[in-house]
Amino acid sequence: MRELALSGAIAIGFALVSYYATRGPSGGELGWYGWANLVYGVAALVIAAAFASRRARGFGSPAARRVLLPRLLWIIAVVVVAVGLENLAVRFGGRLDWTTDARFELSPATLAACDALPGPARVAHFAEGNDPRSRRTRYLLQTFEGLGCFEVRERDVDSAHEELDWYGVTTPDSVVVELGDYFELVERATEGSLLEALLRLSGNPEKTLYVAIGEGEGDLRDSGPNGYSGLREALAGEGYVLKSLVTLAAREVPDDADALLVIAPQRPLHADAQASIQRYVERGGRLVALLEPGLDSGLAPLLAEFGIDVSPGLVVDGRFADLEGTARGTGLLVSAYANHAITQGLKARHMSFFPGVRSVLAARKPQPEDRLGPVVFSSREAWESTDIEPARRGIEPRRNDEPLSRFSIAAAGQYPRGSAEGRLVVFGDAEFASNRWLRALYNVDLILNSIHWAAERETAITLRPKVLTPDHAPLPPQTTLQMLYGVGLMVPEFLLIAGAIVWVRRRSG
Amino acid sequence: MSARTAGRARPLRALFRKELQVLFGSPVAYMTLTFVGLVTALLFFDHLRVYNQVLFVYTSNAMRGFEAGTIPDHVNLRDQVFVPLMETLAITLIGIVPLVTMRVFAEERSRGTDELLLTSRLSPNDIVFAKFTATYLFVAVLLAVSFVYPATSVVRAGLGLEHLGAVYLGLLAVAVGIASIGLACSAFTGSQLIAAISAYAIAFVMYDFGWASPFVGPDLGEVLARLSFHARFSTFSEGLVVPADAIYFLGVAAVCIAITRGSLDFVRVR
Repeated sequence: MRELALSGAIAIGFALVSYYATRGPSGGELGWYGWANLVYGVAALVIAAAFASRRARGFGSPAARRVLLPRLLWIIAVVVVAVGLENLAVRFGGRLDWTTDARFELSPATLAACDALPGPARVAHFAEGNDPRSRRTRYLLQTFEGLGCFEVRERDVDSAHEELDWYGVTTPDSVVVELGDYFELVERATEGSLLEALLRLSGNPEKTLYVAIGEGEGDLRDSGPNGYSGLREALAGEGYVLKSLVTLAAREVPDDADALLVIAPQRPLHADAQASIQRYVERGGRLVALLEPGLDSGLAPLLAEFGIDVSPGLVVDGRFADLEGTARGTGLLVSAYANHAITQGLKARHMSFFPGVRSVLAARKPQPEDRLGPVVFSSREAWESTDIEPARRGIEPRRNDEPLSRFSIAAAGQYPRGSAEGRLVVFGDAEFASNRWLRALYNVDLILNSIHWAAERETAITLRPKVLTPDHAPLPPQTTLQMLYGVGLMVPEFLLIAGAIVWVRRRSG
Repeated sequence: MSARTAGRARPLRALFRKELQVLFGSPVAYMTLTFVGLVTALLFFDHLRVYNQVLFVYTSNAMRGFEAGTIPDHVNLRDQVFVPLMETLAITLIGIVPLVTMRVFAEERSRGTDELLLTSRLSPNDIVFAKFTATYLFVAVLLAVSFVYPATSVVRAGLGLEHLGAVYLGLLAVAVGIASIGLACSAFTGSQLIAAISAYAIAFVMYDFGWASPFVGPDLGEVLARLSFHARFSTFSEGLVVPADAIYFLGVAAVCIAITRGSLDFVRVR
C-alpha cells in the first residue's frame, strides 16, 4: 500500500507541476495531463488510506489512547490558537510599509479627501489573476479601504463582461471609483490618480485663476520639459478654472479673478499692465509671481511698492554639485521653510528643488497693518552671484569675498485695504514649477499651496502623494559581469570546494 | 539556572551542535547551497540581460526613451528583475528544502538511533526543538547565499534596503514553512525518499491553491487563498510586512512542531 500511496503523491505532485508550469498572470491550467494525474493521485491516496486505517486499529487500545489522545488534542489546540491569532491579526490590521517610496502610506491630501467624503466610495477593481500589477493595486486599495474611504469589490476581467462594457474598461488592472451617480475610471491606479478621481467626483468648489500672457511668459499649454502644462493639470485637478489675461490689452485685471498668476515674463510688463496689477492688489486682488533670475519682468518696482525686494543676482550654494544639469552650486535643494500657512506640513525632511533662484526679500511694511514675511530660505552657506549668463551655460559662478549667509528665496505679504485684503506671493524662480521639476520632491506642494493661500483656499493646503519614478537605469555590462564573477559565481564556487573537501575527508577518515 | 535546567541544557546544546555538524558536515548540504547559489546567480544574470535588452530597445534612436520619458514605469530593475526572481526562488525552495529536511528524523529512525535519543536525558520536546532550530538556521544560511548576489546588484541600482529586508523576511518565512512541513514528514517515516516526496507534495499543494479554484466556490476559494504560501509571500515581495502573514507562517511552523512531537508518541505506541 505504501507503493500505491507514494505513486498517488507523485501523481498529484506532477498535476501541480503541470499547473505551475502553465502559470501566467491569470493562473495556470490543469489540462488533460494534470486532470488525469490528479484523479489517479487522489484515488490512490484514498485507497491507501482505507487500507492504512485497517492497520491502525491497534491504536484503539486504552493504553494507546491514553498517550495519543492528549497529543491529538494538543495538536488541535495549536491549530486553534494559530488560526485565532491569525484572525486577530487580520482584524486589527496594521502593516509595515517597507517600500522605498512608502507607496502604501497615504499623504495628508488623500487623508483629507477621504475625511471629506460623505461615505465610502464604491470601488471596483478589474483584475487579472496573479498579475503583479493587480496585486499591487489591490494592496493600495486595501489601504484606502482600511481608512473607510473605499468599499472595494474585486472583479475578474475574464468574467465581468457586462461591467467592463458599462464602465468602458479596456485594460486589466483598471479601477472604477463611484460616488453617488457618477464614476471615474482610473487605468493606472496610484495614490495620486485615485485622489484625483476622488476630487473630481466630490466636486471641489471652483476658483478662477487668471494667467498673464503676452510678454513671453511660461506657457501652460506647452507639454515639453520647459512648459507648464503639468501645473495647468494640477491646478485644474484642485478646482481652478484657468483664464488667460493679455496684460498688454487688458486695462484692468477682471473682478472675477480670485488670483493672478505671472510666470517668468521674458520682457518687462508694459507700464499700463504694471499699473493695473498694482490697482488690482490694492483693491484686494491676489498676485502670485514666479520670477526667473536674469530676466527683467518689470515687476520689481511694483513689488517694492508692496515691500518686497527682488534681487537681480543668483543665489549660489557651493555645497551642491552640478545637480541635474545646473551649474555647480546654482541648483538648490532647499529644506528651510518659514512658519507660514503656505509651508504648513513642510518640515526639514521635505526638500524642494530650485534650478537657479534669485533672492526675494520681505523688506518693509508699506503700512503698519500689513503683514510680510519670508516663505522659503536657502541654507546659511549661500552667497549671491551676478554671473547669471555663464551659470546658464553651466559655468560655476566665481565667489568673491562676500560672506556666506541665508537668503530668502520666496516671500509673501498681506495688505489690508479697507474691507479687502490684497495678497502677494513671490518666488525668485519659475522653473521649479515647470514640467521638468514640478513633480520633483515637494515643488508641486509649494506652488499649489501658494496659489491656494493667495486665493484664500487655506483649507486646500496640504502635502500631496509622491510618486517615486522607478529607476530605469541599466546596470552597465561591465559592472554586471564583475558582480556575476565576484559574487554570483565565486560564492557557489567556494561552497562547492568546501563541499568537496568535506567529502574527501569523510571518505578518507 | 537550576541544576535540573543546567543538566538538560548541556545535552540540548550537544544535540543542537550535532545537528549542525551533520548538516554542515555533509557534502549534500554544500551541494544544495552551491546549487541554490548558482541557480539564483544564473537566473538573475539572465533576467538582467533581458532587462538590459528591453531597456536598450526603449532607449534606442527610434524610441529615445530617456529623452522622451516614454519608458514605461514597470520597466525597472525592481519589477523586471528582482521581484520575479524572488518569486522563482520561492518556488525553487520547494525543490530544495525537503532535500535538507528529509534525513533529520528519518535517518535516526532507519538507524534505530531515535529510541536511543528518546531514552537520553533529553525530553521529546528538547529533541524536536534542537532539530527544528538547527534546520531553520541552515535554511537561513541557504537563503543568505542565494540572496547576496541579487541584493548587491539591486541595492546598487537603487532598491531600498528596507524593501530588500521585507523580501528576505518573506523568503525566510516561506522557507521556514516548507522546512517545517519537511521535518514533520520526516518524523513519520524511516525512509528519506518518502519523507522528501511527501514534503514536496504537501508543499506544492500549500504553495498556491489556485489550482483548486475550478472545484471550489468563491467562498472556499477565498479561504484556500488565505492558506496559500504564495499569497502570503507576495505581500512581502511588494515591500509590505503584514503581521497576519508572519503569524500565518509561524502558525504553520507551530502546527508542524506539534505534529512532529506527536509523531514521537506515535512511534512509542506503535
